[in-house]
Amino acid sequence: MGYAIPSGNTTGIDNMIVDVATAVPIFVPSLLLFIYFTIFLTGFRKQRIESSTGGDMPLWGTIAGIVTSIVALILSTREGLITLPILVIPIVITIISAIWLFASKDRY
Amino acid sequence: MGQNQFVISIVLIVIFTIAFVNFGTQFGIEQGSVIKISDDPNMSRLATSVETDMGTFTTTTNENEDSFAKSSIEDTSQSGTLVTGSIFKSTPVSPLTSMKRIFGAVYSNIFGGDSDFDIILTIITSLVIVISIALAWKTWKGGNPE
Repeated sequence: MGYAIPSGNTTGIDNMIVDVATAVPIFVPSLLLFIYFTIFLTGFRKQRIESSTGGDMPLWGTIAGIVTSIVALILSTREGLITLPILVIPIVITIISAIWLFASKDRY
Repeated sequence: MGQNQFVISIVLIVIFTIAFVNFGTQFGIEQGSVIKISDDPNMSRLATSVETDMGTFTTTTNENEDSFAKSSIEDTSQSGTLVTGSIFKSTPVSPLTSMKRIFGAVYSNIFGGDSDFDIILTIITSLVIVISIALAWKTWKGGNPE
C-alpha cells in the first residue's frame, strides 16, 4: 500500500516547500533564524549550567553560524527557496562570530 | 593579550575566513547551485584580496626574519647581553627549513597537493616564524612580546 500523495505536489516533495516559500517569503529567513538561535541558546544554556565558569558565547555563536550557513548552502541548490542576500548573511555572521571567538582574551 | 596572542588571533581569523568563504564557493560550484556565493561581488572579492594580503604577510615575515638574523645589540658592557645573539639567530632559520619540508609532505600526501591548501600552509609557516622571532627576541634582549 502506497502513501497518499498530496494533490498538486506530485512532482516532488520539495515543491511543497518552494510553494510555501513563494507564498510566505519570510519562511526561509525565519527557518534559518530558528536554527541559529535553537543551537546557540541550547548549547549556551547547557554549558552555563554544567560549567562553573559560565557559557562560552562566542564558541556557540560560531557553531550555530556554521550550521546555519551549511543549511543555507543546501537550500541554495533549489530555485525559489533562498535569495543571495539571505545566503550571504549567515556566512558574514559566522565570520563575525569567529572574529569574536579567536580574539577572546581568555582563550589563550 | 600579548603580541603573540594578538598575531595568532588575527592569523586564525584570516585562515578561518579564507577556508569558510572558499568552502561556500566550492559548494556552489560542485553542487551546481542556482544561487552561488561567488555571485556576490563582496564575497568573491573578500576571498581573493585576503589571500593576497596573506601573501604580503609571508613576504614581510621573510624579510623581517632576514633582518633579525643580521641584527646585533650594542655592547654596553653592563647589560651582560650577547652582542651577536648567534645562538638565537640560528634557531629560527634552520628548524624552520625543516618545518617547511614537513608542511610540504603534509601538503602533498594528505591534501593531495591541491593549490587551495597552499596558502593555508604558507600562512601557518609564516606564523611559526613570527612567533619564533618574538620569543627569541624576548630571550635575547629581555623584552616581553607575550
